[in-house]
Amino acid sequence: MKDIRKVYDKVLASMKDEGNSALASIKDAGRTFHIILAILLVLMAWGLISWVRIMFIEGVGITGSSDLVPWGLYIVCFVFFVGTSAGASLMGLMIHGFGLVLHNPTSMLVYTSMTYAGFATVMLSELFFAVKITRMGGEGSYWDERMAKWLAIGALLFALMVVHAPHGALFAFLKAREMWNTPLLPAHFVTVALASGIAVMIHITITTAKITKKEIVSKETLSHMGGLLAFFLGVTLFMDFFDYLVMKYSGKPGGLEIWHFLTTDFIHFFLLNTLGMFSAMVFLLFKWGRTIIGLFIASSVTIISILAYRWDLIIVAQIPPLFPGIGEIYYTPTVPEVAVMVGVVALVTFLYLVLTRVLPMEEPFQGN
Amino acid sequence: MKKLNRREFVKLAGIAGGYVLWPPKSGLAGSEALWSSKLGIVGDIIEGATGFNPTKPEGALEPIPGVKFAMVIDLDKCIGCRRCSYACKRENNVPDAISPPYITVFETESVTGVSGIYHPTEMPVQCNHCDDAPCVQVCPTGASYKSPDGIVMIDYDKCIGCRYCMVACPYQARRFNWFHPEVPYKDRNPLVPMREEGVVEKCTFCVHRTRKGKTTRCVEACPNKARTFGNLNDPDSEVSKLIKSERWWRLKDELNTGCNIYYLTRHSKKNMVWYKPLPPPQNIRGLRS
Repeated sequence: MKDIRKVYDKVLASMKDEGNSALASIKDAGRTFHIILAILLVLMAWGLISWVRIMFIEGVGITGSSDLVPWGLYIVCFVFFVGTSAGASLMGLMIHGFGLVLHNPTSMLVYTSMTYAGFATVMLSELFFAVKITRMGGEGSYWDERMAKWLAIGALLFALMVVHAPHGALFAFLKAREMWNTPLLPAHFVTVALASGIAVMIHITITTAKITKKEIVSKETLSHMGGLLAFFLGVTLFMDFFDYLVMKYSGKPGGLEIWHFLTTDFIHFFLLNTLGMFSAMVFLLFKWGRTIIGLFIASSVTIISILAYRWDLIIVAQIPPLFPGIGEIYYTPTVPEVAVMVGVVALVTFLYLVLTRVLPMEEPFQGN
Repeated sequence: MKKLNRREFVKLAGIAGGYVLWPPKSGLAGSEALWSSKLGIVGDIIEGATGFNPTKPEGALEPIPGVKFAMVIDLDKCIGCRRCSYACKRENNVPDAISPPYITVFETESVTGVSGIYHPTEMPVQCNHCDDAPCVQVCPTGASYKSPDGIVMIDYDKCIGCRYCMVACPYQARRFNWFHPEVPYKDRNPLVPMREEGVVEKCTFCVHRTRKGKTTRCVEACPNKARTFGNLNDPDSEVSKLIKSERWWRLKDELNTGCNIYYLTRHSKKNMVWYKPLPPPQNIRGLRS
C-alpha cells in the first residue's frame, strides 16, 4: 500500500504543469478522481490485451461465436451503442479511414456505415453553430441561429430516417432469420434508440453534475426529458406487445419457436427487458419519479432493460436451428470478448471524464 | 516527447501512406477477382480507369461464357457415406478446424411419410449457389459475388470477417476460419489457395476444376452416382435432363433464393421435417453435444 502511495506521489510530482491548464485541472481533481482513472486504465489494458489475443495471437476462435451463432456480444454492444448514441460515426469513419473499399450498394451494412459518417458531419456542423452562439453569450447572428435551428432539425430527421431505421433494416432484410425478418424492426429501432439515447443522456447529465458539483441542465429540463423517455418507452412497449402477440397467436412455426426460446432459456433477459421498460415508464409517470433520484433510477433501469432487449434480439434470433433437428445451439460469451467490451466502455468513460475536466465547455467565451 | 524532424516525418508519412495504398495481401482468392486486389487501392483505380491490371496471375480462371453451373443430387441414391464431404475437404484444403466441412450430410425424415413407418433419408447440404443469393446482397465489401457462370464466389482478400453473410445464409453453408487454418504441406492441393484466419469460406463448385471442363470432386467421389454436375444452359446436359422430371425440388424454395442445387426424390419425401447431422456432430462449434 505504501509503495502504491509512493508511486502515486511520484506520478503527481512528475506532472509538470507550468502553463498547462489541462494537466493542472486533472492533477487538482482529487484522489477519488485519480483512483477512478487508474481503475479505468487497468480495465482498458485488460481489454487491449484481450483484443490483441483475439486479433493477433490466439484467433477469433477464443470468442464464444460459432458458425451456428456467428454474431455474439460484439454485435449486441454494436447495436446497443449505435442505437444509443446517434453519433455512432466511428464504424463508418474507421472503415473509410483504413482504406476498406465498401462498394456493394445492396448491402445495408455499407449504407448504414456511410450514414454514420454523414450523420457525424451534420451533427458536428450543428455543434459548431450551437457552440458559436453559446460563446457569443446566447445571442448569435441571424444566420448562425437559422443554421443551428435547421441543422438541428436536419440532424433529427437524419437520425430517424437515415440512421436508425436502416439500422433496423440491416436485420429486417434477412429472410433467413424469423425474428429479424419483420417490417416492424426499423420503426422499433427508432423508438428504442430514442428511449435508450434519452436514458443515457439523463444518466450522464446527473452523474456528471454529481461529480463536478455543477448544475449542467436545469431540473425542469431533466423532468421534461423524463416525460419524453416515458413516452418513447410506451411506444416501444406498445410495438413489443403486438409483436409478441402476433408471434404467439399467428401460430407460425418460426414465430412459436422464437416465443419458446424467449420464454424458456432466455426468460431472464425477456423479463428484464419487458418488466424493466414497463416499470421505468410507470415510474416516470409520477411526479416523484421525475426528481433527480427518480430520474437516475428510471434511466438506469431503462439502460439495463434495453441492453437485455438487444441481447434477446441478436442472440435469440440465431438460436433456432435453420435445420430443425440439428440439435441444441448455444452461445456463451467468453472472458476475452467480455474484456474487450469492458475495455471499450472504460476507454469512452475515461475520455469523457478527462475531457469534461480539460475542456472548458461551461465557461463563456472571453475575448475575440 | 521527442519531436520529429522533417526527414523523419516524411519517412513515417511515406510508410503510413504506402501501407494504406499497398496493404499487405496474404490470401489468394483463386478467382478472376483476385488480381484487382493485389495492388490495393491503386489496383482498383487502375482497373476501374483502364480495365487493365498488371498483376493478373497467369492461369487465373475466367468464367466460361454461356455456362450456368448446377448440381442435381438424387436422394434416393444417396447412402449417407459422406465420401463427398471428406473428398471435398481434401480437395479444397479445408482444415480440420473447419467443422463441419463444406458439405454437411443430414439424416432426415419426411413429413408426408406413412405414419408409423420410418422413412430415413440422407441428405447432403452445401452452398446452393443461389441466383438471388442473400449472402451476396449483404456483403459490405463485395467479397461475396455471383460469377456469370452461376458460382457464388468469395474474394478472400476483400473479406473483412464481419460474418453478415453467415447470418444471412438460410442454408448455414458458410464456414468461418476461427483460428489460423493449418493443413500439412504434403496434404495441400496446390490449385486451391489457403485461406487466412478471419475470413469466410464455403463450397466453390470446385472452381479450379469446373472452369477447366472437369466435374466437381464430390461428384467424382460419390460411390452411388447420386450427384450430377453440369451446365444448366445446355438442354442436352445431364442436369438439364434430370430436372425435366417432376421429382426435383429445392431447399427452402419458399425464400425465392433460386438455388442451383436440385434434389431428386420420391414425392412423399419432398418435405423434410428434421435434419440430424451425421457424426461427428459433437465437433460442430456452437452445437451442444
